[in-house]
Amino acid sequence: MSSRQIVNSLWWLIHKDLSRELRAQLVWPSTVLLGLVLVFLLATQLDLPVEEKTQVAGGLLWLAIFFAGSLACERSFTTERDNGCWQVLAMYPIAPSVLFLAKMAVNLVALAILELVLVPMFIVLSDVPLGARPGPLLLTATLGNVGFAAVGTLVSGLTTGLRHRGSVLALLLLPLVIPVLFGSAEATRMLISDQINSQWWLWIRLLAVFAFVFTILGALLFEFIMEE
Amino acid sequence: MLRIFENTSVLTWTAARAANRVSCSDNDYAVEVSDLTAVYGRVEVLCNVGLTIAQGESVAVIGPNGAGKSTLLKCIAGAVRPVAGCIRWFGDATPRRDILCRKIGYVGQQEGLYAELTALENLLFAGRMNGVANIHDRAGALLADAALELQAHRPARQLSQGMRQRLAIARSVVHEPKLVLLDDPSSSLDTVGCQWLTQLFRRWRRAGQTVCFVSHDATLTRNLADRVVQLEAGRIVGIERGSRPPTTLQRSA
Repeated sequence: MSSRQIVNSLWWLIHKDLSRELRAQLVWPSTVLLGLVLVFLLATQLDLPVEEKTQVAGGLLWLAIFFAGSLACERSFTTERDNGCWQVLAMYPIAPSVLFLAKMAVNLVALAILELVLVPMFIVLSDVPLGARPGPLLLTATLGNVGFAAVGTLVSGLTTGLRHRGSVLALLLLPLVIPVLFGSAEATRMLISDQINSQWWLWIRLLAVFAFVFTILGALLFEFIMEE
Repeated sequence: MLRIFENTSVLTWTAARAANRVSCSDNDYAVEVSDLTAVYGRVEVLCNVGLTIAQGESVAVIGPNGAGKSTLLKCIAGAVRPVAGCIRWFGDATPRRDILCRKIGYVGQQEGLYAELTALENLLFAGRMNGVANIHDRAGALLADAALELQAHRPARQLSQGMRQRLAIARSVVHEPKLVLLDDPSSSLDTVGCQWLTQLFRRWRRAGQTVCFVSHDATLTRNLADRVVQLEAGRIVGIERGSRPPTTLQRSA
């Protein structure tokens, strides 16, 4: 396959998933709703002094995003399994890695939309100065999202054909995303506390390495996941 | 070239295995399946199946539910990896995945259509994934052929079962594959739909395309197939000659 064909296939795969989602609202409304409920509960229960609140706010926010995001990742494959679409998709002359990257990109869009709704709501409800450093926050969110989307897409693809996929997904996904969750929470905590120092960059590097490794791993392993 | 057909309805496995090999050179085979065994979990779905399909030939696979017909088709399509045995496609046992996919058109038991996308969009997507040039023209022609022109801009979920089946078959040949694999293609088709399918088979034959299909429709099977392979409990138990006139390949024998 030429690079142009790869880019074309990637684009049309993403286009197809986004068109389906925008027309039928298959996944995103339920994902955002779950995220809103979690953020509302966590933010309103966060009745702590400001200093302590800044210490835990980042972790709680990312926990809500990852729980709601895991729903988006899981559903991105189950909608494909409906009506035998997955089998047909697996028979197109496209590299499995392209399929993985397309699914991952769609999950990234879902996570970005989720965060666009949840982060402002969390800031308003919890009164934590999360938006004071938008640049570092954007960097943390981007790397956290890429890492989570890579693991989420890989594990969701792996479990999508299973009968008890919900429980298996949770069992596999949560331990695997702990480094992302921990890294994102720590980096967010430090930027809220205005501690953008070498330690903060260490967490950012961890997130970057994790995102890179799992993106490559997912692209390489996806071929085996596609087999029935 | 000599071609061997068995006329008895039921054969022993050994006899069937000897009989189902069509006598022609390696390059004339679209598919060569040898000693194929496939399992789902601990259940052996196919057991030492051997079958050859010559290029331009139309082969029907029949048998009771659970006989392994769909699994055999999926193995030939490359969608299921067998635990033992070998499949050669057009003389190549280890083709590159993208090259093999371009040669095969497949419709499974489920149509595999995106319900939210329109009939036209489903064809356009399939064409784009297969790298088909002038895909808009091709999709338009296929919709017209399947009598789905008026439904082109309707979402697939709003189409009737028969329309969806016709659309799925049209989608499977959007890239003009050399080998067409259809799992029960007439299952949701009405009389007109079956006539369309018959015409389609004739056109494929004229174009030299090879067809392997699973069916429960005895009349259609005998009318459309050169050979009818009977599977039972994962084994070939019989091979019959279909009533279809001989193909170009056979006539040259």
